[in-house]
Amino acid sequence: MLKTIEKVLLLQEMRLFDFVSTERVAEMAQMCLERSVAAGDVIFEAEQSVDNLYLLVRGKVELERNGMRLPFSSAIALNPWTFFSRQPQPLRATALEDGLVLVGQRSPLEELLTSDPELCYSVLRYLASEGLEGHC
Amino acid sequence: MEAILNLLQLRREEAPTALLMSAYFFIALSCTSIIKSLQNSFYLTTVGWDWRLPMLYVAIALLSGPVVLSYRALAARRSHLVLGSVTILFIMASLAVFYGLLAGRPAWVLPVFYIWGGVFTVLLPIQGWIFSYDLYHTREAKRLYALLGTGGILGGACGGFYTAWRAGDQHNEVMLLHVCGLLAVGLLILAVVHRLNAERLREGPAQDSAETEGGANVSAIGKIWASPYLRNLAVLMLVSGAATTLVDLLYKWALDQRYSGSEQQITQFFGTLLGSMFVVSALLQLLGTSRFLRRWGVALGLLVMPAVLALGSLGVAFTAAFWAIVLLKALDGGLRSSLDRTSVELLYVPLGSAATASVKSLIDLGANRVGDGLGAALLVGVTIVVFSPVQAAGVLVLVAATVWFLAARSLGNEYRGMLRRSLVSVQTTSHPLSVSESINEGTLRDALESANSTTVQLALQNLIEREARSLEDDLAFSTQSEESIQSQLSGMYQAIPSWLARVERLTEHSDPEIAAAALHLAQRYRPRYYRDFLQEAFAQDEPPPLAPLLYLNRYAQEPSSFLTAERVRHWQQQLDPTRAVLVADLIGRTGQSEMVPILQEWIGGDDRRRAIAAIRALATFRDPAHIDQMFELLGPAWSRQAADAALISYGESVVGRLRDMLKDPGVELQVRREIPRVLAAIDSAEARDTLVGALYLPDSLLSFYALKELNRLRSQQKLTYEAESFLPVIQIWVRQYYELVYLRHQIAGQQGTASQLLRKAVQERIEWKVEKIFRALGLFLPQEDAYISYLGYTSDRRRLRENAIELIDSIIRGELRKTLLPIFGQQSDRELARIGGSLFGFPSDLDILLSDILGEGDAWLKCCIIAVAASQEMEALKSAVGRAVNDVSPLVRETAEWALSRWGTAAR
Repeated sequence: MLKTIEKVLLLQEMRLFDFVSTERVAEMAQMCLERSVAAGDVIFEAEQSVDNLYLLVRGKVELERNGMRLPFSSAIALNPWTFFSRQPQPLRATALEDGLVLVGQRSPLEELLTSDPELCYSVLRYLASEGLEGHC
Repeated sequence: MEAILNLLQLRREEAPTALLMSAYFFIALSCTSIIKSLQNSFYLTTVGWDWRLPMLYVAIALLSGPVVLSYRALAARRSHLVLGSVTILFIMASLAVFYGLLAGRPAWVLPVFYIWGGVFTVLLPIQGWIFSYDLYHTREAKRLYALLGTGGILGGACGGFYTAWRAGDQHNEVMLLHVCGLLAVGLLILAVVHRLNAERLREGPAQDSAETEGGANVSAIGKIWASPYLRNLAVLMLVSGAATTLVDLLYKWALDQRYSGSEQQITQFFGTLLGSMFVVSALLQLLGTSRFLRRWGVALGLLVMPAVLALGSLGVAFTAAFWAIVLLKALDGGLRSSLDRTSVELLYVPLGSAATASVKSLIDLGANRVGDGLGAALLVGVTIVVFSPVQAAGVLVLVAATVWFLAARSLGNEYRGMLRRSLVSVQTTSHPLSVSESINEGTLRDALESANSTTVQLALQNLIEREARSLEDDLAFSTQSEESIQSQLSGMYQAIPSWLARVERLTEHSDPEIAAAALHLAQRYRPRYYRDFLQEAFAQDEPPPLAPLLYLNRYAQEPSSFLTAERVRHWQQQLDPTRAVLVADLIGRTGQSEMVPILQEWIGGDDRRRAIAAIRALATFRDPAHIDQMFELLGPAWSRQAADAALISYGESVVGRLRDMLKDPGVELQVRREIPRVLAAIDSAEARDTLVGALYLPDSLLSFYALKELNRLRSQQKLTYEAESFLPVIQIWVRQYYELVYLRHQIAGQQGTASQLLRKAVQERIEWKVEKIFRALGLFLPQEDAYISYLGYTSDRRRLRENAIELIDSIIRGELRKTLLPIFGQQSDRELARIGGSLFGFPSDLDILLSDILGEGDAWLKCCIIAVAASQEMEALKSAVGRAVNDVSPLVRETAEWALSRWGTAAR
């Protein structure tokens, strides 16, 4: 089982945490559970409501939507938009190789976010910058 | 090379431009010096000193007006390079013409040449200064203007000595052609500087004009008149012009008396003294001006010259001797070009270059020349009225210098205000949208019919606010009879409002917020009907709809009559989370103690939203029996905020316990970090003292939160603190800042994810430290100063950042200044690390430095260092990591154990 510092070392590369202080990343890391995935494992299915935030820290994953497939390598948050919007997941995520996913559960993560405006703002900045990139 | 750059306080990248500008000033002032020596010697030799000489000063003052206007017209239309080129070429052409005219010393040419010299030579250094305002911001200017000024002073000295050396009994006018040659080189230098700094010169004016003075449309005179700062500056220039002209005329009178008729002697004396004065100036400038200004500031720099002149004038007033007059002139010349000129030029820097170009010509040429004319007129008056004009002139200089001193003192105070104003634009002003009171009833009626829920809500809110203003007494059902309400209403209203029918329809709106607001409005006109409606809704077996619940929560003053423990128990299995929260809030408002067991049950239940509402409700009872439970609820993240609010409601009685928790490292850090917010909300003297004490706690975030709360309290309540309360903690943070910069410098090149994490954590802490230092300054300095300085300092706009630092520089004093200013000075890491090392003696060995920091209190930084130590297997740190296994922080303990377990297996 990974220690908090190990999780932080893996998560610090993730764009989701670009604007989050390292100490806050550690707080979030403490809440994340580890999930090892083998090649071919489905991490989440399309059209399911998702109550977890999936953070790929090791390995490769393929995201599929309407027959279109895109491979992603670590470190990446697989479903930040649907997690925060609480919309049904339009994508299916399948592991392409053995890897590791950190799973943040909605309830503790939302509690942490709502109790800390600075952390909330940092995540908002990430989402805004992602959205901006998507539009530009 | 480094030593020379250090001596000149120059950074390597600044050197080419700064040295070129210094060369330009050398040329400009040497030309000015030669022209001045010649115009005076030609005139005094041929015409001599009489009443006409002061009148020439008056003529210079009068002619300066049109020249200034033409110059400003050109400045507004053309770039500063074009402005400089045109001006210099015009002066060169004029000199060539005067060379031809002066050959036979015709009497009519001499005053023309005198006046021309008085009006136009001042434009030469002005060109350089205008370029400098484009090039340098406040802090750079403070450092580099001394070098620029030194070039000018050396030029003045060389020009003076050159004139003295070349002076003969005739054909001295050939030196005018030499000046032309020098000016051509000066023009070339400006072109090179422009080319080297094209980008910077482009960005400066456009941006800054908007920053400070509100654009170019305002006339410069209006701008000067409207700004107390510029007005004082103009007064200063006027008075200083009068004083120095008095000195100048007195000196020329003395020369004329002593060397009457000898062009060579007058030229030589004039040139030699001018050269000597510039040498003294150069020494002062090189060795003293910059240091003086950095140590004592601009405000004091402005006072030196008038104070010295006042003292010198006493010698003239008492003795009327030649040596006293020459000494007075030497003091004037020695200081005017060095400390005084640099101080005055710095006054323009916060204005921004565009504003400066617009007003400087008017002040320097206009106000200063008017001052010259005034001084000359005063001397003529004294010569006519008084038998011994020399002593009387000495008294006049004393009076003028005194007024100058007072104007300088006022301007020195205003300088800080100007820096403030230049920063105020950083503050973002937001004007929250509100429904205008002037919205007419027809518009509101239409809005109530809108399909857009937000529009309907805004309209209802507007009506509610109007009603609240109209009815002073709340018309709650429970306290007044319907008859009395109707009676009041009939007295207050001419008729039932036209919007009521629409509002009543909205009580059934699908949006419960709208329905509740409509209920609130409608019940005022039909109270009995709506009371019955509510009682029926709350008497049902199933929970009431959302709208009545919201109405009772938001608007009703005494909702207790609608809610009973029996009803709530009956409903509780059917309550959805939203309704449960509203019912819990209502319980809190009713204050019925028989409901407490229900709340306790909810707090222990699985529904967290309901539990949080129950904690809030329980807190409203303010029962001391629940305090322990509230402290326990601080632990879990989900209940922390509600527990905070609950503890706040207990007020001062919980402060002692909160203070103990703050200091107890055994209490979870997340819990301790919540306490500053609770203390600030309690806001008693003891709570504020506890917050001040929390600044010294080792956890960076905890002390940061305490500081933020103190800032907020101060801004809300205008509290005044003594600087002494915060200086020790600021010094601690300053030391930590240097230590962190030192560490950042040491680990800059390290590879690996752990080093990357440490660098990021260090960077975050460095930024926090700066913010904390500004915030702490904001506790005892004028709060707005610290705030706007921080905004300016963190701004992307360089001029604002420089002005912010300058403002802080002008406010803080003592030991703090010495350690704090380098932090704000945008120094390189290497330089800051060097300063920090020499101030605090940090170890040069990285292992020892990391070990030291591991012994300090920042838990997260310790974790990052332990990660680096483990990943790089730093044997020297192994024992320190071993000790960390017993750290009070669980996270540090966990990280240390992890590090030790993988020591020896880590991949490098």
